[in-house]
Amino acid sequence: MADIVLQTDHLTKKYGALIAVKDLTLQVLEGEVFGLLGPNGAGKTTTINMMCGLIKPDTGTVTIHGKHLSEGDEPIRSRVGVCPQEIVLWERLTCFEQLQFIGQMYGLKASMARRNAENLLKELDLVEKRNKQARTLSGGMQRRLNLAMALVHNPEIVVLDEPEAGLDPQSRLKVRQYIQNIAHEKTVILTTHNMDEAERLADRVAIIDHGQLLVCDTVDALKRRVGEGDVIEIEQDLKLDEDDIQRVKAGLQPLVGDVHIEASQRLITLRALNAVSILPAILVTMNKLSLQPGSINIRQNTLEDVFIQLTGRRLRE
Amino acid sequence: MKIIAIAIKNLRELWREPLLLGLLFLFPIILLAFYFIAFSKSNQNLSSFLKILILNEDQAVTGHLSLTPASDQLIRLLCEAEYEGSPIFEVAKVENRQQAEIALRERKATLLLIFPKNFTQAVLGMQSKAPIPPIELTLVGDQNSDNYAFARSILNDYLAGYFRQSAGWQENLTLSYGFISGTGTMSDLDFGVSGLIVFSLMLITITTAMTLTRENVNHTLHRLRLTNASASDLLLGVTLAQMVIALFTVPFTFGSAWLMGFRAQGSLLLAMGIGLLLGLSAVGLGLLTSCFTRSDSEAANLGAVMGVLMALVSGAMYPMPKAPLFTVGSRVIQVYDFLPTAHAAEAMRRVLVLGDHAGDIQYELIMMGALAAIILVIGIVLFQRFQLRQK
Repeated sequence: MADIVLQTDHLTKKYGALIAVKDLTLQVLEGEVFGLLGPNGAGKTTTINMMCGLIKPDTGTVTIHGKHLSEGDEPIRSRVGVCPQEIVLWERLTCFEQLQFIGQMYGLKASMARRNAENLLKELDLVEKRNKQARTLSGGMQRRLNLAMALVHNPEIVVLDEPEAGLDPQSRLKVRQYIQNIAHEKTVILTTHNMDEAERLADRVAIIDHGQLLVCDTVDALKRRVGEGDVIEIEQDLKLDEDDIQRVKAGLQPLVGDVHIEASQRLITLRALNAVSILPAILVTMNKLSLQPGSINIRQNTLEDVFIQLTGRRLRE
Repeated sequence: MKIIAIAIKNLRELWREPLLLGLLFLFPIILLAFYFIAFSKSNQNLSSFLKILILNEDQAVTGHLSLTPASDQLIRLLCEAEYEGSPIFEVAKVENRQQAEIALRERKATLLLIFPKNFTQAVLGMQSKAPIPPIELTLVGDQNSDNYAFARSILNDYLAGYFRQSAGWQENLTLSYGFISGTGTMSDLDFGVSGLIVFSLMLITITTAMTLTRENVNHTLHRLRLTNASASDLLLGVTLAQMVIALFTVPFTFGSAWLMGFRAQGSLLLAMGIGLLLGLSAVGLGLLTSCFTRSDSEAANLGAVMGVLMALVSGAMYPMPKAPLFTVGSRVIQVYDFLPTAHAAEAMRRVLVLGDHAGDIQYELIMMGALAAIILVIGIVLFQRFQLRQK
């Protein structure tokens, strides 16, 4: 089994009456891509900030390779590279100057900082913008540079807070490819509210909501918790009343194991092992119940289904 | 290493921001040019602002007495009074008091000197040691005018000298009113340069506050906190960058003034040293300011209030009234003794204008160093507490 690189023990952080993070215990293993998934305001960024020492937890500890993270601990800080959610650049420094400068701040020699900066500019396709000031770059390029800033000192642990947020499709692809390239060479911790991003990139995912850890496991294991099979989503044009809901549940449950109707009372979600083969029977039943579906969607399980099962609501609600 | 990298980064950012750079270097030059245009040409010597009007009612002059008028001798003495080859007074006769008072009110003249009817008789009486009634020479002027006070003070010395001589005393009657060397033909431009250097150095408060506020608002301070750079690396780096600016500010303002005709009496290197000491205070004030500001404009406004106001009330730009607090030994401690700008203005003036050396301005240098240290320490402690500590 891989070594534990980073561990949080019973982390709690309050802001007045608001509990941002509550009793959070996590273990991140060496070389894995660890996803921290949750809706906006779930406490992901607060957790990350405590992990890298920007915020002091009210209670609990963070340890990196078994050593407590304390303010001003240089060797530990050098092992971590953080890419914040917002773009954090010096507007009037060029791409190269930013990378060289931050490398020096991590204690690299000027020559090493220059070499690493040149390499990262190549890897993140920013060579042409080497001598352009950050303020003149497009949003996507700024985000790529933002990512490069976390990597210039060649850290062992890379913390990425919503790395794909605000990216255009081209930049998203580049960033995603880059993260996949560094995965397993480095330990990557990424936060996201995008289940697709987490599914594609993460080996293990911790789902948090209202500052609390709901579940933590591999993506496949989490999906299995929701249930085997595919998901059929039937959207109604008209809102179902309580009688309709009871009739739908009674009519469809013999065909499929799980029937869920969303709070909007328009979306019926079913889970079935062989969705395509039983779809005609579902439609016949719907017809008997005098229900006309507006649209039907068949898809595989996602982490969002896990979140829905755990919280009763969607990630973006 | 990190300190130098931070300083270079800050200087690069400043270099690429023409507006801020302009504020630092062009604003003092604009003020200097204003001084030059307003004062340097018109005030070439004392007589250009010490214009004396004479209303001579001496009966020896008016023809009521057939004596050589003593008043004419005194007037000639005033006309011939010189300092460093230039006349001290411009003397003009008037026919009546009303005409003279209009000129005084309009500041076209500085002082009206009225000779009494018995002036010649009284002077003759003094010479013969005969008992005489008091001589009533009348000096009229605007009590609110500095020039009037200045002219009256010089004139008093001349009058005293004249009467001693007329009475037959064998005393050296050369000027007893002393000028400090080099100030005989001094203009307001000359006085203004040292004040302007102090003023331009205090603009560093604004740039320091803006630099640090930006680091905070743009979260680059967070990025730096994630690195191995310590708080002292950051603050020393910022201070070093601002000191480089201070180092350039003094010769830049000085050089511009030189082009406009200013000639320093003392060492430019010493002036740069004074500039660096004041720069430290300005950085400290900038650190303090950035603890309470959340945007560029707030930093600029509060920085201006802190820095520029301190320059304005220090006496650097114009004389301030006395504000004594207490006495230590023989030294009266005033409110201004707690302003580094006041000491810098005094030290800069004495070096550039009077040619004083470091030993002559020891008190000012010690006070500047002590005040800079206090302000810097307060600034660093508060900045660390408000901006750099884990939240």
